[in-house]
Amino acid sequence: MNNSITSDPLALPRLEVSGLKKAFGGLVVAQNIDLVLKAGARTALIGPNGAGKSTFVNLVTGVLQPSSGSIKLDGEEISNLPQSARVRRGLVRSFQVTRLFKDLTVADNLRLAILQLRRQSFTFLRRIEHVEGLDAEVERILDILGLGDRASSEVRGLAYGEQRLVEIALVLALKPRVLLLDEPAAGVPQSESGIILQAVEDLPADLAVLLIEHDMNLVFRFATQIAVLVSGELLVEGTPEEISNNKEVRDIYLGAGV
Amino acid sequence: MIVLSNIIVDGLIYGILLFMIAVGLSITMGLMRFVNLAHGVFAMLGGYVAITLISSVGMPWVVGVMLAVVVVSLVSIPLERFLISRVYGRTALDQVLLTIGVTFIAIALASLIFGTRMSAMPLPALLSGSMDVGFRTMPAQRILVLISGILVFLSLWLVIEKTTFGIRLRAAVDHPATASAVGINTRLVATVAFALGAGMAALGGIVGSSLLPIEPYYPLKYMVLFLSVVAVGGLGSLVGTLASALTLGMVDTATKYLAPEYSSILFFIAIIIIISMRPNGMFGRGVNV
Amino acid sequence: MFESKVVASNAVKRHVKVPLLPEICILVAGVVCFYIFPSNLGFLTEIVVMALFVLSLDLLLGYTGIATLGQAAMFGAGAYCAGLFAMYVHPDPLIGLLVAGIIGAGIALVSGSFMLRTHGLSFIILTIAVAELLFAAANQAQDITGGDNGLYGFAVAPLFGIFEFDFYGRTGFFYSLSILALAFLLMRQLVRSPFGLAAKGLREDQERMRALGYPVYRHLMIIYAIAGSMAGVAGGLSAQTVQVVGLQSLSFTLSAEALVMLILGGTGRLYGALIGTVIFMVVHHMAAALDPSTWMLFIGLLLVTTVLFLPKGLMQLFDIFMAWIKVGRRSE
Repeated sequence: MNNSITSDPLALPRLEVSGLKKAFGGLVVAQNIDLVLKAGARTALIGPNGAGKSTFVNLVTGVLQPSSGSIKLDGEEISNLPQSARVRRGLVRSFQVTRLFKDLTVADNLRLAILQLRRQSFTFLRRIEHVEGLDAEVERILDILGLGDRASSEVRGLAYGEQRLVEIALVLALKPRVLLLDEPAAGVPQSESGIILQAVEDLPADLAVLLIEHDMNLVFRFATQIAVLVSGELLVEGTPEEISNNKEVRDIYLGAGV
Repeated sequence: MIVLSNIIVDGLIYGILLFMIAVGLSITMGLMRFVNLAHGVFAMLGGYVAITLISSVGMPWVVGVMLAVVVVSLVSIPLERFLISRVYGRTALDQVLLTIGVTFIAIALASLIFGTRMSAMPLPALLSGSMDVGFRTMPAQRILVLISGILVFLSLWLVIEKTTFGIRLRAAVDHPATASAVGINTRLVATVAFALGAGMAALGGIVGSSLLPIEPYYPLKYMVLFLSVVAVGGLGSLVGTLASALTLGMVDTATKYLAPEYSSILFFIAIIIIISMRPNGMFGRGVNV
Repeated sequence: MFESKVVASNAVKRHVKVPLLPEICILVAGVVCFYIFPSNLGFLTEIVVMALFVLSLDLLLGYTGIATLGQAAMFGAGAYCAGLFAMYVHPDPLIGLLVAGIIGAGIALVSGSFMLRTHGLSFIILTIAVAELLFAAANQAQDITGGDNGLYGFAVAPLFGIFEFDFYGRTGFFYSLSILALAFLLMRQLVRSPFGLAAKGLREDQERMRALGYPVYRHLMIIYAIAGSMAGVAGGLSAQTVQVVGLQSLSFTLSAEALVMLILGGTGRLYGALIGTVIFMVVHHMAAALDPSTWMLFIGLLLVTTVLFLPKGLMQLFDIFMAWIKVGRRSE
């Protein structure tokens, strides 16, 4: 039904979160969260430690079940779908701390993502090298990120910055419609952070990206829209300029020296 | 009616026994996220040491039992320090393999030293008879199980709630990272808890020998039973372990009364259902090691 | 670019490609053993059957990271079913084997449907409990299984209607050997397929697989069923070649021994499962004069030392040796 609507992708929100709430017993950890991401969005979600950013990510990706509220992907309610089904519909997240398959090669990591995207993971008897177009796609993505010569290295042996790049490669390989990018440069040494930032800036233009971030430099360099989360609630949303001039935000958050 | 009251009374006593043996397992598993399949070894060892001290050495019963408990605790310390602790933090598979290895070694040594038949626990006159408990008579040994179990629970509760060791133990179970950050020596706490747990299992093994007879295959025969108590109770939870031990004790006793021929089949079905429905424990925190 | 690199690295290793080389090796080794030990065919068959069983465990443990202590459930079920099938339904060995495989897969699917939703301690207990349940049931149903005395008195028809299962066990041996080679081929294809890569991904990090969109539970179920059917076939082979099925085919000890063989050979490599089985079974055979307790002591010590010093199995010694030779060559 929404094929006709999504043919005009800029008009319809790709991700639409409304009235999201999560409580553990009497303890409310998230409430009144409304957020819309359209194609090409570059929104940053910021907030002090413990503001509920990870809870939000877990609710949207399906690790946690919301107590109330709705999450729509391309206009369709997904809050009852399991995590993997949401990914298969194009809602993908990256991890703050790299969670890669460390004993596998970089190529095998990417193959896993691509095989899932193509629904070929239940191919039992064909050698993986003989799956048509698989390694060409691996190569294409690795070349985008400048990891071409790392294909047959085990992830374990890569520098941390390179591992973060593989994390981004893995996410790209899934061809997401909405990407939750969780602190892509966390823990990367200064010398290597340039390539990560470049990779983030080079993300496909029409992808809807939500950047969950601590580092204000990265936020202001990257985001066109900023949402501020405080104590589990969405305090305000606006352009970077509006946010940096917002007194409340300055008091609560930016006052801490940004 | 009589059957029901029998199930409740016998199940209670059996459950208390399971609690005594398994509580140490629950605490150490909660502490170190360590899958230990060899815990029954301590109960068996307690039984054999007590039998030896009383029958062969000729010690008075009470002295022999207490000494056996101490001996097992002491033996468990080097075992934890030099063997078990080396697989803390390794995969569950490594822990499983190592502790199966320890179990097999214990079974083999017990068979070689004491023979493969069941060994009878010598009893003082006071404990060998039956007692009238109002509505029925009951072997005095079971009353001993009940009393020891209650004493173990109360003293453990006191230790955990009221002593500094208890505070450290709880901190280390609930918030391991924070605990070591504030200077709690988690490794030392683990060793002490391990030794305590081994001692309690030994006591359980001795006083419960009429219910779970001492024999070389003891640790293997009751492995699932002890592990299930921990899994159902939730790791590291005193009250959870008690509740789970009593529940499983009742279930097992009920199957033995109602359908003696099918009791082990029914018991395994019950365990499978309970653990599948509540894989994170019925009464406590998660058991996803 | 990347493909050409893979080709290049293969060229460096000078891999000569002979199709079906491992399977040919298995068959040749079998034939050689047949001529060297003609009077030990029963024992050789036992090794072959165990190797198949351990291979099924390797798929779970080595490739998918599913640590089970109850694989004997599927082996024993396959064994009893093959025996009963020959006795009451049809004596043909291949049909019997098929039934054993289906039963193994069926038990895996039924038990997996609730087990594979759990993790850690709960999962381990459930694997033991399911096998113990079947053990208790087989023990109880003496009229059907023969209980302690075992199930015997069933006859297996000649293979393809031609090769009779002779007293010396020649047919049994080559029959089992061929099945093992076939299973090895299938396993080799499987672990190199997209499905096999997904299994390795599950071994590394199930959560991440979920975040990549994998239906984790469905993958685990299928792997568990495949391993279950292999274990069932191994059990069926055991029943058909030994002509007796005992309760020990469902026992915890069998599950544990298979685990020992696997880790001895090294998990996650198919030939590790074969080598571990051969070493274990041969040592066991030679130690037959020992009483069971001493043997158990030996297994226990073996387990402890392997876990502590050779976590990748005896093949690690081989790796160390090869690395040592390489270093030696380089320094020359």
